[in-house]
Amino acid sequence: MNDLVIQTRGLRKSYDGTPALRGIDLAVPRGSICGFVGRNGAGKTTTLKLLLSLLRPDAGDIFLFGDPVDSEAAAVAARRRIGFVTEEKQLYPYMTVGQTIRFTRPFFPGWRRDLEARYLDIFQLPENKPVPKLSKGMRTQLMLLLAMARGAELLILDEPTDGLDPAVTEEVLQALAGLAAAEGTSILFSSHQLAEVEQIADRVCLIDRGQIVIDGALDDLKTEYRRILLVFSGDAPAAVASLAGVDHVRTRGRTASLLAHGDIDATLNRARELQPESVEVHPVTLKELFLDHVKEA
Amino acid sequence: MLWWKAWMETRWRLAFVLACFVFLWLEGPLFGVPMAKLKIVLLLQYAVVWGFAATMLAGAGLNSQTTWGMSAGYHGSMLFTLSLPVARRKLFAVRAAAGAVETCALIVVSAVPLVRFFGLSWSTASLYVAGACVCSMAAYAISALFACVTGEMWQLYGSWGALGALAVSMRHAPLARFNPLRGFLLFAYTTAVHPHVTPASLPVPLVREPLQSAFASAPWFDAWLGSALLAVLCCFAAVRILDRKEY
Amino acid sequence: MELRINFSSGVPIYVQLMEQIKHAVETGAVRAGEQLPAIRKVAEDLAMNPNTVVRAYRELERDGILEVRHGSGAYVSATRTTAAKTAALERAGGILSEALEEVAALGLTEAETRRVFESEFAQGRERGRATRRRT
Repeated sequence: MNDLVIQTRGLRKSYDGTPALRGIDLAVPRGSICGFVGRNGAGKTTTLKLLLSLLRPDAGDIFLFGDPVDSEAAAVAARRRIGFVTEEKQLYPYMTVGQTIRFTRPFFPGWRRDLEARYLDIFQLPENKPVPKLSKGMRTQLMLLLAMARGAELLILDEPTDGLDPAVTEEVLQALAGLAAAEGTSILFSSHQLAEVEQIADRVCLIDRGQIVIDGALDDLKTEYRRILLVFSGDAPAAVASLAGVDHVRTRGRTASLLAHGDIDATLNRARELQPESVEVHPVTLKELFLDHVKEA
Repeated sequence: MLWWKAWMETRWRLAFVLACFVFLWLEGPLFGVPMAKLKIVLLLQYAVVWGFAATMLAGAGLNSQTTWGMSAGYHGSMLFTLSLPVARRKLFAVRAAAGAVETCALIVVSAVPLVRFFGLSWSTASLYVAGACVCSMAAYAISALFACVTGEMWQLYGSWGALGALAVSMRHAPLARFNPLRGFLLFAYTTAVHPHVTPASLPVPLVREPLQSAFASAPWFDAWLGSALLAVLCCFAAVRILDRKEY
Repeated sequence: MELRINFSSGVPIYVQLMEQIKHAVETGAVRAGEQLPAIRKVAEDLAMNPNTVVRAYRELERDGILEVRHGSGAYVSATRTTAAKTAALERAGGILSEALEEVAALGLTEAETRRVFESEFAQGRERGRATRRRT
């Protein structure tokens, strides 16, 4: 039973010969909040645009709500069920807040007036203010309101908290959490703020140079990865670099820092065979996972 | 709501063009131009402003049009528009239709004082006005086509360039009959209107020759046919581009 | 009920939430029979993933600490275990305060006392592990 709200297979995209995506297999289960992280230029916005059919893939398949998106009609049908917040958060400069809402409403038969009123109130958006006069925070909140009030089953958000102060950021995250809790909305959002991803997401997907390097439930990642710190009496032996079960190694003189994945105990035993002076095991934060996986050549 | 959006994007441009016409009519009293000269000058200026209006009011429904066309590149809100559950062709069709209706309405309204000024009968005038509308659609479609591939600024520069090329091409007799711009020079053609004004007596040498060939034959169904064909061709190209282009 | 979650910690968030709710129950911040806030409210107030809250509540229900009544929400179980725990905590407080008084009479500083306590605690753990390995 396919309960994936987003699924891509082998998605590829190049710009002028430069590959941006090199085979993306994304799988976002319904009802989850998935954080999409990666360095600038890794392919996040390209992937999100492909999902909305703003771009056409060079190869690969896209499935939204279980249906293939292979024609404009399918894309339009999918977009009716999706809320999108763009990277630049730009709306029409000749409309006010109220006009923008009234413009967007008729496109979505599932529009929720109650949610519209609720978020207008929570975000304190002034109805008669022209959009160009809004601060970045308010523009983001308006775009979020438009995305959330349309009764969408899926939200695709490109850096929804970018440039927002901590108070507004918390309001936004609270609104998203509340919507997911009340309506079961699935959310895929890209972010540079790993702390936020750890806070609100239950899944994380790390993309680096056009490929997905990590994709899984956050709780699982926390149990599957450990940092092992070894201190040796002499220089760290070269064998440390080729230990099985280790994703990434960093040696500095007598210390070696290992990112272990999977069967941690087995890896620990193998590490102990190298006879270190001391062995420490620590949990791994999302930031460490990120930095270790994108620094590799 | 797409119609309303098109209106929001074009209303100030429409107002601006109407203001241009008002200025044209004030020229006579302001600059003391003699009547005979005024008639032909006015007609030429009308032609230019009609062409200008058609390019200004055109749009593809994707890029948000805001200022008078000075912003280069696409406006950020374009992605929002494209992410709406509306087919691109529909976005184009509504915007193009709205601007086209406005252009024709503008031509009709601005032609009223002109008809009065020249003392023409409405039955004759209506034919010329209809013809001018048809010909304006060629200029409009060129501008809409540019709007599909570029931002506001180059949409205007490009379409003005194209119109300029059309104007220059009127020198070449064989195809000049089909040239849409002829349709704009509507009242000057019948000598019944201007027995005393001939192309040779025109103040600007540059326009004498093209006008000569333009004035050569009437009626101008050729021009209307040429316009319609060009407009259809541009629309066809626009739709093909929209289907494929990535923004 | 004050909930403070460290989202970057190595401890899974649902485990932290469970511990905090258990602690609130044990210290009497929420009493037996009292209703816990709705999952939606907890998720929204803390701006955290609702699935995580669901998991925490579900595990607590499985452990017998919560009772989920369909349609109305989650309630703290009125079980003897909870009352016993509260009593045990009180008693432990009493034992330790007596011991601390005696140790203070020896003239040790607070830091030294802590070090001795940690050392005894750790040794107790090792002893327990050794016992478990042998059995």
